[in-house]
Amino acid sequence: MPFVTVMAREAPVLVVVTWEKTVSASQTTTQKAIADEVNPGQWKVLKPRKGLQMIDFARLWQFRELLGMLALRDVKVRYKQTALGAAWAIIQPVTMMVVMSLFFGRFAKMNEQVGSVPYPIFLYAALLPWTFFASSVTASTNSMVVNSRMLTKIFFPRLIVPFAATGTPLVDYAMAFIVLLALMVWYSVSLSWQLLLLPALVGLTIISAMGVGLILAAVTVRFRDFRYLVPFMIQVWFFITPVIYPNKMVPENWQWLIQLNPMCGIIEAFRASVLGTAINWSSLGMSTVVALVGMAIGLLYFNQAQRKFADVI
Amino acid sequence: MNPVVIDVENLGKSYRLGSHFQLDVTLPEMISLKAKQCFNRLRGIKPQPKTDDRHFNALEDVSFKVTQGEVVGIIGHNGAGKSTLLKILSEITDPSSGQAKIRGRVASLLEVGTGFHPELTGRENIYLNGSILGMTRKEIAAKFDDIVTYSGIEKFIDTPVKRYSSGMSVRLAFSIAAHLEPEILVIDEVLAVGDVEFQNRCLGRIQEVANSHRTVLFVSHNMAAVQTLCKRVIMLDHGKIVADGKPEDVIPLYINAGQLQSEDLATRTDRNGNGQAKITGCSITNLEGNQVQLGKPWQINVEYETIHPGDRHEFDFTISSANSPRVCYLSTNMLIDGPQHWPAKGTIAIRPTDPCPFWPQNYTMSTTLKHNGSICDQMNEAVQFSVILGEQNKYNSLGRRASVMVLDADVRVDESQNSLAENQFTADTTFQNRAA
Repeated sequence: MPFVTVMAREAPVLVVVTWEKTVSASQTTTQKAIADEVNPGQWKVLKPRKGLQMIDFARLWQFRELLGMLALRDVKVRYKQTALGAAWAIIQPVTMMVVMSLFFGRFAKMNEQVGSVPYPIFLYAALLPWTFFASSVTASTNSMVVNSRMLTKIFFPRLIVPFAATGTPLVDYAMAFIVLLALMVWYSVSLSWQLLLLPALVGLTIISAMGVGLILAAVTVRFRDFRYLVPFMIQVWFFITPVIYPNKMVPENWQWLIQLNPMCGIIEAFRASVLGTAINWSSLGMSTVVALVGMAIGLLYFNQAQRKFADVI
Repeated sequence: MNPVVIDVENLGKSYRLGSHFQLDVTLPEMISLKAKQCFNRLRGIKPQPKTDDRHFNALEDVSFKVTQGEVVGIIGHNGAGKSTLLKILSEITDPSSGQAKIRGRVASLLEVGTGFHPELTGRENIYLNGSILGMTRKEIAAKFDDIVTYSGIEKFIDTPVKRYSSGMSVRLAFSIAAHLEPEILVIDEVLAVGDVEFQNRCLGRIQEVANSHRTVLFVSHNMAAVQTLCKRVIMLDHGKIVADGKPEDVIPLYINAGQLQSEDLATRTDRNGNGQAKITGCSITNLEGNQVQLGKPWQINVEYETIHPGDRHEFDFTISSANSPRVCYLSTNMLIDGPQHWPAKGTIAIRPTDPCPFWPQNYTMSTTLKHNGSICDQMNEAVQFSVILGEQNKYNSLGRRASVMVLDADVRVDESQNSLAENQFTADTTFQNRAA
């Protein structure tokens, strides 16, 4: 997979594993379909599409390199003509951590709720996946509108666009991860085997983000209202996710509701992996199910809506 | 007979003007509408067929077949449905009815440089644009040097595209597209951008593709290009096919249909001069007031107003075509005699002594009206006109050879007996055949 090697130059190994995972899933099922596509004798019929559409995995596979190229474009462009460059990927989360540690941790006495764990690392270990999730959702929501010119002028599987939009957040994520390692050393947190779970958790975060992002991207094509609604929605979502507080602060009879938020289990598991504490498997399992269901709905809805994109955007 | 590679049957595309096109349905309205539909369905009420007829047919019942290796020009006026057809064939949008079947890899070029990012360098954009157009990294890498050489911007390949002149980025973009190797190439009016040299290059490249036995669908308003490149032309009007045949048959139809209404010159505001005299109307016709035919007498009719009645006025005309800014210049200044009495307001007819030498296509004419050597009124592209071949025209034998002007001539042959035989032929190679 050539584009994986492209990503590898830009990001640590951790990232590569995840990309490989998402792509290879479609690989085996589509080998036959590709063979048909290449044969020039095959008629391709273009007619009004009615009813539920199948996702054209063969086409996605054919255009797999475009995913990498679009992601790479966004990554390259992101910090062009800035003096500090990629340092911004570190400055932002670190500043947030410092401010939040001070206000929530010290002034709001949240650090008393988290036991023996230093509050800054407790917060940062959750802020990291949260920021990735939030910026992935925002980026994929806007991706269709940002690339509208391409949508009306050229054919390619539209699904690639919102997925490619997670590239930049992913690279930022990897950069900010370095700070997490530094924090772990500073607070002398011992490494545990659970750290091996992190790549899977990153994958799960992408899946959760895409479930929401795909639907929002498709709706934004028609209703630009969502460009304004999404930042607000993300803000609310931040507070119903245990980022600044531990999950146990939520009353018992509310737990079932809060567990429906896929980021709840993922962030808890991420934090537990970093700190080496026990992982709440049932919560993570719930998150996985919700994330996968969300992703499936997102894929189907997007695939259904994409027929009209070029006419409506 | 080559195999059919594009088979279009009863293809149609309609846009709903209200909800889709102009988007005048707000989100709450749509939700309540959908909810009502759901509720009605639950109660067993069938959804009413849509009563609003506010839809617009961009394409209606279009059918045609294209065989491998054909170069087909698609012409028609703005809004005729050309781009919609190409968009359906390139899978950008779905048809609303009918179907199109395609065999082979399609590359469509509806715009030059789709997806170019100004912040990225030329090199990065080659890879980006290439993969958007459907090339693989391997293919791009293999053709990279050719693309760069062809574009002629080797020196700037590592400079961000935002620092390029617009000509440079167009050249680079076209160079990438030119290296696509599809079995079917679909091109929209891409020639509209760029200078003459660029346009010639585009045409040359399309010709190369055509020569290599690949299929080309080519939309253009440039009739000279269509005539040179295509062996078959399809003309669309209001979403329907109105003609499908040889260029020499179809292009005149387009030109006739395109009797472009010249705007009211009396009220036109973008004009220069001191305003002491004014051209209030102008048209170019044959002597009967109909369309100008190649090789037939023609005249320029001018309506004017002046505050210097009785004085001699001078008219200058410059005729241009889409490809040549100055095809021909005509001035009444060189005429020795002319009307002596000029009313304050009137119409004059200027009849060139030579028959119309212009090859059938669209032309524009700029006018200048002078009095005593100073410009009173000057307008660019004051009038548009088109020339047709007409029936039983001796120039029909010229076939599809296109140039801007055609000359008539006397031809004399010195026979061996020293006797002078005089024949009049058209200055054309058919002469050689007959003489031999």
